[in-house]
Amino acid sequence: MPKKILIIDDEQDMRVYLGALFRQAGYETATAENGIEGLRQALAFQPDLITLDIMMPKRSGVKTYRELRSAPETRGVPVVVLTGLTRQEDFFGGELGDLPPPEAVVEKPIQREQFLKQVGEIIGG
Amino acid sequence: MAVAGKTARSYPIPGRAVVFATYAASIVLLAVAVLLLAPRLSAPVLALGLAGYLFLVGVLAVQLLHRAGRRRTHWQNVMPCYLSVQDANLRIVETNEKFRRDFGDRVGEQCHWVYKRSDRPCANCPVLATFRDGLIHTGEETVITQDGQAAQVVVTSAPHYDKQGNMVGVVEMSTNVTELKKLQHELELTRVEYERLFDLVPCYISVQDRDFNIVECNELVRRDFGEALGQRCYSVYKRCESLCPDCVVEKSFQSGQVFSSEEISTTQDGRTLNLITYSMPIRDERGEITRVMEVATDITEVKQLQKELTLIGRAVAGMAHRIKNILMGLEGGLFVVNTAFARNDAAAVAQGWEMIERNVERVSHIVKDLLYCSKKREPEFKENVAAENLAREVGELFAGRTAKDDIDLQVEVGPSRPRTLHPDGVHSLITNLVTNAIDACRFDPDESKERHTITLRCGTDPAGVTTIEVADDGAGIPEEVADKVFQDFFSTKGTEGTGLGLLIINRVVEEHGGEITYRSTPGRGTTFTVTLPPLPAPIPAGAEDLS
Repeated sequence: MPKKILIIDDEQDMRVYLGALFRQAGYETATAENGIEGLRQALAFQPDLITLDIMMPKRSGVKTYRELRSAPETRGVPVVVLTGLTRQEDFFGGELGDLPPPEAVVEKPIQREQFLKQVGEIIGG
Repeated sequence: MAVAGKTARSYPIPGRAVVFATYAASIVLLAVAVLLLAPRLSAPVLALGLAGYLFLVGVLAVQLLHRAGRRRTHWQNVMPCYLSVQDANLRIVETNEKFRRDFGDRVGEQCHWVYKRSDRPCANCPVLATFRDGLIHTGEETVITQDGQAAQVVVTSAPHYDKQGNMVGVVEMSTNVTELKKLQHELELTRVEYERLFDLVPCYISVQDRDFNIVECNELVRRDFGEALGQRCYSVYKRCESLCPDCVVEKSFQSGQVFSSEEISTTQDGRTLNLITYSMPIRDERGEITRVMEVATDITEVKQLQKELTLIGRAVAGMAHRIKNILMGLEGGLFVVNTAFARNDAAAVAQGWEMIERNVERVSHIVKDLLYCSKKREPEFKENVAAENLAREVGELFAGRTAKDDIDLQVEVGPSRPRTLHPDGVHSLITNLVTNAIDACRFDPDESKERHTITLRCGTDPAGVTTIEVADDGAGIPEEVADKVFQDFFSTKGTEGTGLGLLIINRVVEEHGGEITYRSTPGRGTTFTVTLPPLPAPIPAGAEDLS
């Protein structure tokens, strides 16, 4: 059974790219273009890993992350956060609180090989 | 003690010395006569004669000694000024020690010769005036001492009466004020220099009293704020009726220390200035602070540069972000195309290729905006362009995009009033304003708003002033950044914009000599308002200058 990855990103290019990348590596993929869609898909698709873009309109990535980690159905799903920001303080802006941190925070633009390896390690176990 | 007739012009008259010489001579003669006659005279007569003779000698000796002593300690000789007594012919009859030291023993010579080596009395001679009316007179003269030094003196002449009350001479007292005069001259030079500096220094300088009245100000203050003397400083600099809060002048009055602050002032021709102000206490002889000096430096240009730098900094950061996204798009497109080739999947190739095309277009947008901002060239103003038409164009451009994002774009445009403006610039300006508004709506964290509204207004009044307004009901600008005007806060992601939005808006507004302001309520929305004043028609290249 191939592992399932849910891609939550408001940019179409990212959804297409990551989708193609993961499918090429043998994963099954689903995409969502905002946080609200993403939560719905997380429940429906039941992914083994979620990639989450931080800066999104409508519902922010941080809020989405909070809800993913709060809902019992999705709490245990590993999340890889993707961000275009470089400064440490911009990751979550210090709003994590008592939530567990994401399994990985990856800066855009991604390095393909390294990224796949990282995802493989997280999803593998 | 002989009278020194040094030149042909001195007239020897019997001075005191001559009198004593005659006196002494006659005593000697008498002594000789007595000695010669002694044998013929009886003893009592001889004794009497001898006694008389000794008495006379004694008197002479006492006189001589007394005179010698007098010479040293008489108040006339102790005075640190020149004292001389002149007769009606201006001949010197008596002098004091100091006079003799600097001019020599010149009794019998005329004073104008002695003092000035002139054979004519001085103009306005105080001595002659005193001889005429018997009153004290004063004057200032330059005299030459016997070793050729010039000295400046203040002269006072007073009448000298004999026991019968007749004026027999005039006492002339001259005080050497050369040093004083030199200091006075230096002081005057310094004063002139200070006044020049006061007016030349490129700062606003004013001195206020305890009631905050301006008692002194320099040329720059007068030039930019009008006649400020006698008015309250807060009325002159700030057009206020009362003392400014945190007034540094007041603080200096109270604590006697130097204070500084940043202030905003309006000149008499309506310009706004950013100033750094220093206040310094000024104490009087008793050490009390009676005045405070206020010095202000114009930092308006610096502030503008600061603002521009901030904008550029944010624009660069925003651009880096967008470029990363574009890179991802390009890399993604390449990946999709390559893997599609490997699989012979034509549809996937098309999809990947489209990604590449789209992102290359985004790169060219960024480059265009960069060039717009970095090139220093004159904007191409054109006449008879209606801003209203440009607004309509932008409205149509964004109609599709806003619908997709659940945004209602309302365009309210007045009647077309053609005017002179920079068409590309104004088009860019409106585009960027709308883009920012779209981002504010898209990134609004308030999920209760199902839809958003953006209103674009544009109109030109009869005076030729164009007003462009873009209002959104999105996120609003938070309190923390509201002070830092034009922070590109909500556009850090903004896929619609290129990151240079506010920078471009600022440039275009400045090109047109216009103004931009905004009102924002966090959570309720933001309204940006741009006003562009009327502009003269541009001079076509190569046209004759008919003025």
